[in-house]
Amino acid sequence: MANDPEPAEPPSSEPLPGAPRSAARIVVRTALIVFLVLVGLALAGFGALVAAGYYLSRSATGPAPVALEKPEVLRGENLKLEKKIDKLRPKGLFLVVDTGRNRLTVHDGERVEREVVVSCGSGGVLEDPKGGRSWVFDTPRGERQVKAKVKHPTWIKPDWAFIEEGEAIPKKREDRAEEGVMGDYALGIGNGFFLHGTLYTRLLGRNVTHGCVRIGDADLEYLYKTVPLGTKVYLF
Amino acid sequence: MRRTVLPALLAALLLVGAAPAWSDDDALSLWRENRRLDAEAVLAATPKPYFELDLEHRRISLKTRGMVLFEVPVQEQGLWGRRLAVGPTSVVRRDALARPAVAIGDEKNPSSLDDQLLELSDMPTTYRLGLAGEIDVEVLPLATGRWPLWRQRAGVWRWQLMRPLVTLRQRRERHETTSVFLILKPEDAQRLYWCLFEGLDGILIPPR
Repeated sequence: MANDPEPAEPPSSEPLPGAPRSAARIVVRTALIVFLVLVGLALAGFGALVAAGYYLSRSATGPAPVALEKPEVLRGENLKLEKKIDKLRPKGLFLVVDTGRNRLTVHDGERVEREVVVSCGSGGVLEDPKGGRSWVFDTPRGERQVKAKVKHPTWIKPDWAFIEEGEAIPKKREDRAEEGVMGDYALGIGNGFFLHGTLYTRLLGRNVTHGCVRIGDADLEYLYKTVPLGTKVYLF
Repeated sequence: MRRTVLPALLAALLLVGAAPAWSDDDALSLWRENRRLDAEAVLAATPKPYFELDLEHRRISLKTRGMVLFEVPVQEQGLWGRRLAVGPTSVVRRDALARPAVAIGDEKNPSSLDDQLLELSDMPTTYRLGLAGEIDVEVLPLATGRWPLWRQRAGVWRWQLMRPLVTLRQRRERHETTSVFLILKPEDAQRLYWCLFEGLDGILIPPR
């Protein structure tokens, strides 16, 4: 028996001493590597798509100057355009009405002479219950001019004023007249819109009107005395 | 003598060296200004107000007859998609993403009209404007406080990351648009909503 061969080495599947490694651990590690590779690939793919989109956005075939004119030509053209715009710019005395902030400013050229708290349109909508008509109580925007100046104005109530109060619309003009509600002065800016006084001075600074611009007594007197007919009014 | 000649010579060399690059840039600036003035000359000739969305200088202004009525600064902005040129545009759509918060009046105070009025403070601070030329502008209010600010920044980063994918899709569909987001102070966003009504014409100045 002394010549018997030495016993064979243990099968390789068995852990070698000093390097313990279970099959489960290998599976977990492999799965982790596969997972990380997949996440990496997904991120790389997403990154590539983002980069492609970024590149397309930045290299977009947009309108660009095909052939720029010579700077001196452009300078000359720009000067002409600036002069053209400058001619359109308001000069002298003019009024600006900010309907959102309820402020009226009196300008003399580039200088602001006076800022006045006013009340502008409420934006409310009134429907005629008999149908067919509706009114939006917005202060008009854009350029207008002072077309009329009236002392002790009488309000000729329009149809909506009667509909709002649930009253019958009178047929005679004199039945529409109401005195004292527009203050001491009124400045007409066209289409039935006025800058006028108010009985409700505590509501100045709020959007409460039917489209007209209400102004406090002292400021209204100042405007009546300062602003001539034809003065431009810019409402926004 | 040497003391004066040498710096003068250096300055002259610098000027000569810088001249070609400077004049190209200058020509582009002049061309962009030319486009802006050209559009403004048309709009200023009408009695209507108009807006100027200046993404180059990060400001939005409302103008009439060449005069600035008011101007608001843009706190943060982003622009993606089809490239834009300096030129005329108009508001074709105005949506509110968040309903205007209408304050309700105090019932004990019969003079309270808060529930009936539509005022500047009722205007939304988050909304979307559709401008002519398929430009989609999203207006957001500037967040205040540490966490809302971080949340807003995260939203901006998400937008920056995801918008290129929209570009890809639009390229495939052969229908490219431009998206712009603007972060404004809440009161400026409301003021702008008040003034930028549908149909209002304006000028767009994209960043260079």
